[in-house]
Formats: sequence, C-alpha cells, structure tokens
Amino acid sequence: MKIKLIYPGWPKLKNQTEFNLPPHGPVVFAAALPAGVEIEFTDENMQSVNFDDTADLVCISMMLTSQVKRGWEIADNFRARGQKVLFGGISTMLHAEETLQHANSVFMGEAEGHMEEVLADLQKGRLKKLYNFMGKQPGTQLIGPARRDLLERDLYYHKGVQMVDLFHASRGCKFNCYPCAVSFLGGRNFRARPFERIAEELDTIDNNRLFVVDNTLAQDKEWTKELFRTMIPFRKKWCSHTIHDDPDVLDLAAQAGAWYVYQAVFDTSDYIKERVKRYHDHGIGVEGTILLGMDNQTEDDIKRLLDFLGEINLDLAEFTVLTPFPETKSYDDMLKEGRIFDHDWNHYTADTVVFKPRHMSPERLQELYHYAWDSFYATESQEQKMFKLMMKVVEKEMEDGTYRKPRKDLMETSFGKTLDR
Amino acid sequence: MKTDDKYVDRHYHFKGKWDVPGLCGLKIVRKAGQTVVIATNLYDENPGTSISRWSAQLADSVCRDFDIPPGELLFIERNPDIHSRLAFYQETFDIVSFDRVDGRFANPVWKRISHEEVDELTGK
Repeated sequence: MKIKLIYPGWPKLKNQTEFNLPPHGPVVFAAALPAGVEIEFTDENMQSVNFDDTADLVCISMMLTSQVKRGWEIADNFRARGQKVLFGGISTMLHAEETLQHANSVFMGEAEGHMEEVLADLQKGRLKKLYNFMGKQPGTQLIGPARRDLLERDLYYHKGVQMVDLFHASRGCKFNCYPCAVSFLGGRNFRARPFERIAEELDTIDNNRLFVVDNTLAQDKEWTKELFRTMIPFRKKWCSHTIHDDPDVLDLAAQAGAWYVYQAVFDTSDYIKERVKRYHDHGIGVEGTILLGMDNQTEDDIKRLLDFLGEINLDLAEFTVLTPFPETKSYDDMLKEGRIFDHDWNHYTADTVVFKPRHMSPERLQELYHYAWDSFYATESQEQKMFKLMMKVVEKEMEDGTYRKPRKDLMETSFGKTLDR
Repeated sequence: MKTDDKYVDRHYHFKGKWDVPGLCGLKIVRKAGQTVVIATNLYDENPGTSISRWSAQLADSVCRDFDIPPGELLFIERNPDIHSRLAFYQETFDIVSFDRVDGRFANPVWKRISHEEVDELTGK
C-alpha cells in the first residue's frame, strides 16, 4: 500500500526572519502507520506537490489554521483526479466540519493504535467519512520514534547549518490558557511518554540541536527533573517552551542542554523580570513571546510592555496579535460579543488583526504590532540577536565536544534554494 | 466548582462536541410560564466542550432531561470568576437566545447581563 503524505504550505510571519523547521506532526503520524506501508512525504513549504502522482490514499496533515484552506485546495485537486483523501492533525480537529466537505475521510484524535483499522477499511472499500477518537487518547507507550527518515533532510539547512529537529516527551496540558486550544486537542490531562521510549527516540535523532515541543515543561516538577536526567547522556542542545520555575529543575535543564526557552511576557511585573533572570543565571537564553491585543491591554499598556522588554535583557522577542482560534476561550468570548470581523482562515497567522480589540481600533493594534517588532529590533537586528544566541550554543557545544561544523556542500543554499549573493 | 455556589445546584454531565463527555454547573429555577436555567462553565473541571461552544445542544439536552418546555426556557450562560489576574476570567452572565430549527435550538445569540439582573430573574 502506498500513502502520499502531504503537509500543506502556509504564509510566514512578515516580520520574522524566514526559517523552516522539519515538520513534526506528519512524521509522528507516519510512525503510527503499520509496517510495510510505503510513504512518500511532501512538505509543501519546501517542495511542490506532484498532483499527477497516484497512491492508495492521500493523507493531509495540518497543524495550523492558516494551512487549512490550502489543505482543502490540495484535497479538492486530488479528489478531482479520483484519489481518496484523509485529513488529520491539529488544525483538522479545529476545523473538522469544514474539512469534511473536502475529504473522503477525516481523522479526529491521535493516530496511534488506530491506523490499522482505517487502512483495513480502505482496503475493503469502506473508508468511513469520520474516524472520531476525540477524548480517547492512546497510551503514550504507543508513541513510536517519529519517522524522520521520511524528511528530505538537506532542505532544512541554512548556509550549511542544520535546523533543530522537533521532539516531544509528553502530550496534553493541565492548563487551559485563554488563547490556547491544546486542552481541546490533547485533553486536559498531562500524559507523559515512558522514559525508555523517550531515550529510544532521542537515540534515533541525527541532530545535536532539538526543539522540545511539549506544550510546557512546567506541568509536573518530578517528571520534568527525570526527563532532564534522561536527556543528559545524549548531550543535545535544545530550546523549549516554559520550564518549571525551580532552581533544581533549572539546574538539571542546564545540564541536559537547555539552550533557550520561549517565555510568555504578559506584564511588567518583577515576577517576569526575575523569571527571565533566573533562566539567564542558569545559562539559558530567553526568547520572549509577547501577545498583543488582550482585553486588559490599552495602548499605553502595550507601550509600557515594550519599554519593559528593554529592561529584562531578552535574547529575542517574538510578537503576535491575539488571534481567536476555534476551540479557545478567546474564540468563545469574541464570538459571543460579535467582535470577530474576519473569518478568512488564511488571515489567522497571528500577525493580522481579525477581531475588534477592547481598547483600540483594529487598525491601531495592527500598527502597534509592527511598531513592537521595529522598536525591539531597532538597535540590533533580529539576525544579529539570533547570531548571538547561536554563538552561545556553539560555545557550549565546543566545550563538550558536540559541535558540528556547518556543511560545506550546503553553505551556498538556504532551505534548498541557492543563495543570491 | 462547589455545588454550594449560589448559581450552581448540581453538576450536569452532557455529551459535547465530537461526543466528548462534558460537565457544567446547573441551577434551575421554575416559575409560572418560565424556567430559568443558569449553566456554569467549569473550566478545568470540564473534560470536554465549553458550554459556550455547545449552548444550543446543551439547552436541548437540559430541556429533555429536566422536562422543561422549550418555549419556557430562559437560558443563561455563566462564566464564573476564577480569581485570575486576567480580566477575561471575571464573572460574566449572558442570556442566550436561540432560533428553533427543526424542533431544536440553533443560532445562539448572547446578551450580557449583570448578576443583579440574574438575581432578579431567579427571584433571589
């Protein structure tokens, strides 16, 4: 059986330096397919989709809301050629009703332990319109090492430097944050993978730098400490979302190779200032993630927040505007109050205002969003700051002997394209 | 959410979006010609769909399970104060009005009201 697995492209944030990471969802899904299935993978951010190709099943894996319209186009094209199309992934779950109109089948939930049933139905000519496994999460011991062998690895290099590989050690989230849909998608229970399975997967990753994409590393202190103890022997360097604010945990994180974290900066409190300092005290860099347009933010609040960023020595900052993604409380609130004026999912990139903010016009919030990027990077560009952060990891790697020189054969390329010098 | 909450008399289990089990708080006040139902979002205690996303279906199942004539229902959605520093987790009440389509509630529209108005409606 042949499966054509496609990851639709999406528009990148206009202000952000372009970089492309190897996709995670599709290769995790591929690991859930039975042995012997032939899989051909296309990441449309890097490669063209070959619509003339045939397969027993076209699987479209979607992560972002801004991918769904392109995913539907791809499906419509394949289905017009008589191909069967199955959708899955995070944004499929967020947009399932609409996606059903473009699919032979939609898979809801996590794939592990269920794909044998789906493929058996396909072979019998009885593919169901909907496979609904929402709320029936599989045991995390079933999550196998992601099929990174399906990736065309040379595409994920910039000037000879390999991009981080994505990796996850847990699913679900006990928190239920205002702009986030994770609790809908992965359940409200923290579900850890067994440490032996984590080690097994780490051992397969031919990359000394990772992005640990767990929703947060602040859900279970003892588990997080054990995770870091598991990671230490692999000597990877990695970035992640928030880490538990505890000196023992941060010590272990540093030993396990913590490079930098994405830390939400949501106010100008001493708590945030000290939080950032504690990461830095452990040699861990901080990329602030700053969400603009919350209901408690006036224009002055946003300007004060931007001034504050200059005081807390962030290594990098990424600004987004609040975006009411389906299945979040922000979506519920905005919908109830009739404040969403743009329902074009292509605009749900978190750099475009699609709702009426509480304390300013949409246009003013859009201006402040651009002003935020410009002001933070006014004296030192994003590339310069990224270079500094890169040097920090290079120093660490030099010290412990894990540094890999950039690949000479890819020095003149960036994400598969020849550099225009 | 404790059931001694002024606006929660019982917990109510419902089948939410994609059949995922959900849980909300309920207070039902029956008056002549009108039954006021206050449905409370339980946030972290609710394993499934939020009541805002499922209000029409929730109103249907509450009417069915508690013998409330649909024409007599006054449905109020409550988001309780969870004592967060974030303003959008303060207590809110909305009257939810629906169309009737094929014998079911549909097309919810929310109208914010104060807790004083809620108390007046429930006679408390």
